[in-house]
Amino acid sequence: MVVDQPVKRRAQSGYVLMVVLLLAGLMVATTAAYARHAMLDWRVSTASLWVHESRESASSGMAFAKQVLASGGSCGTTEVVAGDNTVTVEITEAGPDERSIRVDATSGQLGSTVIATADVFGLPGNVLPSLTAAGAASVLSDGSAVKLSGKQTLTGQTYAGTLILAKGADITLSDVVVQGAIVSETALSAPPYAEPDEVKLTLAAGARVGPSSVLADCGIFIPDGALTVQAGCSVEVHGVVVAASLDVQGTGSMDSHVVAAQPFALPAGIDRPGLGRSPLDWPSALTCSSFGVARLAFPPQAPPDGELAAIEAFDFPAE
Amino acid sequence: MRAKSAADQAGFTLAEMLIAATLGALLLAAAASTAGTFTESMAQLQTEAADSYENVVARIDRDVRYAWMADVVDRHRLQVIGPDSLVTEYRLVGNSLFVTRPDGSTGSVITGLGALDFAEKTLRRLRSGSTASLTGTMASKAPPSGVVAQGYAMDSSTTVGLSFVRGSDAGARSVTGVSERYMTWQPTLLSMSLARVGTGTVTFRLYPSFGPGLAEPRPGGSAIATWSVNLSALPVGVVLASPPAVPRTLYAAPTATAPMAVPALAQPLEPGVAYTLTLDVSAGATLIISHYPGAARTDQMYKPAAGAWTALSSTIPFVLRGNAACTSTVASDVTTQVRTTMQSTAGGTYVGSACVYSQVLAEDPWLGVVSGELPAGP
Repeated sequence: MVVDQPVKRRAQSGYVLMVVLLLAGLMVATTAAYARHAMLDWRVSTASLWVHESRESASSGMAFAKQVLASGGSCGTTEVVAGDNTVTVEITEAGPDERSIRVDATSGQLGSTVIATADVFGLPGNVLPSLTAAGAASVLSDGSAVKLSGKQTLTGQTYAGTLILAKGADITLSDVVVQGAIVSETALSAPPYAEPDEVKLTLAAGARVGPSSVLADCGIFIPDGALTVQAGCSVEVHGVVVAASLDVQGTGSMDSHVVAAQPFALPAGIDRPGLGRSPLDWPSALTCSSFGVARLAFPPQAPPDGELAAIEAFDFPAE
Repeated sequence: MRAKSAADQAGFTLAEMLIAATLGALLLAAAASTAGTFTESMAQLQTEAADSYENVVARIDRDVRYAWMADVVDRHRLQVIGPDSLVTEYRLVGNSLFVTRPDGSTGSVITGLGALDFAEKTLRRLRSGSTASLTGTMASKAPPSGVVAQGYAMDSSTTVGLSFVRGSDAGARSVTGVSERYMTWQPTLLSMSLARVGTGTVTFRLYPSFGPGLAEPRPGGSAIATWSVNLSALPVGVVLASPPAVPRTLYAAPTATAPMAVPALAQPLEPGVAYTLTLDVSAGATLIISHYPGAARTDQMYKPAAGAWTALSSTIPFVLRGNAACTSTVASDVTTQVRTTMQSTAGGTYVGSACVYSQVLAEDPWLGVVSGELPAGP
């Protein structure tokens, strides 16, 4: 009987080697594949984190821009810290009631830019409105203006022009018609104004103030003074009322903004035509210290013309 | 038993080694390639799956955040409107999220969705609607209670002035809690208790008042309107007593109220502004007015021919009706925040939430954005 044992032994040795080689190769391949995955995952995760961070920073920048408008901050470029990043917030005046906002936030190597346009409306804020230079010049050039000083009570008078209250004046108007605005002398200069209550204006019996052709839509503007409307007085004020302090009793109407540095409450007997609807406009002769956002739009960001031209003109290299 | 030969004890031949090594290398390469591809594919699929959901949620959040408006039509459908009024729509179809871009292109941005839910927070925005026209009492003076009316005889030497102010508050009409405002008034009908003696006319003039509560017409002010009524339209005055029994003739208070048409004014009257209605009677005639004696009041005055305006010590009742132009208000709910919840069929849940900046930064209900409004142009 012939047994072919040597052949069988040689075949077994070859299989062992092959299995060893296969296992070794498998381990190498698995390790390499995992390493590649880990590397890719780190890169993607980091990029994703940067994107999220930059977007969150941009959102913080928008909130900051809103606060700047609401607090009366001036237009310009500001760098603020948002999270771990620095955000550049640029606010520019695009018109009397329009602002442009640009927020640039970068995290890692990725950035987010937000561009918005905001329609704004005036708010008195913490600082009372002030007369513009043009407004002050208009009052000073009013030939029919009357300057009142000292302590006086005027009864049954009609004034066809601006009433200017001199510093320290204490004026009571009783049954008086002022066909113009009442302005304190101090208000004709730039703020900050002198001590409050420097001027005292009291309306008694009946008083009609405005409208003014010299200071359009301004009624009583005494940001350094105290305005008192006595109980039983009937008032009719056309235009904005601005005073350091207000004590209003009586009845009548005030048809525009009524603002004061000190807290106040108007009685129910004072009619406010137009109140409770959309915010009233401020006279162009007054400068407001802060703004509210009426509308905000994020225009679609199209590539600039130069960039588009560069893309279109790009010649791909020959293969 | 056969003895072991030298060939039996020898190792592998060179040819065997080469074949084995070649086969091993081929197998190794194949295995490595397969294993690598498999591992890579698995990792890529897992990463892509998670990233895709997160990216889609992030994309929706970004669209919502910088939208001009957003509208959750239903829980499976979201519309994002840009400042150019172009609409991007996300909606669930089957287990896929489809997006339709403003240019009309539509495609699936992700599949394998087990569930998709859009939820929203809203805010009520207010806008002025078309001007409403109302008819009603513009101004009136009621007779005081407990006082007996008398007849006030007025001749051509006297002018009587009656002051009135119409408030602007029209109360809530179209939207609860929002007061409407009268914008202008056009008086149409004046009602007073009048009588006549003789023939002639009574002339009414409407002036701005000297001041609120002060019936004297504003000095230098011209009449806003002037109209006359023939006295023949009024009842004849009833004489109670006449000289020499009394110094001057006493008339009974007219009881009938005479409604008199007011001509259309060139400029309508404004709420919150004081006006004075004056009455003058032509020479040779006497107008008897029903009045109620009382304390002197400056919102009703008289003026002798050569005298100053003087407070009237009585009340003359009157009613002035007219047509008012009044504001109206339209309320609409707008989306201020959108919350997106996605669930993959594999069980993962992905949540995103974003505020619509154009809405949340405009806090006043009269501002912000409502449907149909576009940003101001450059």
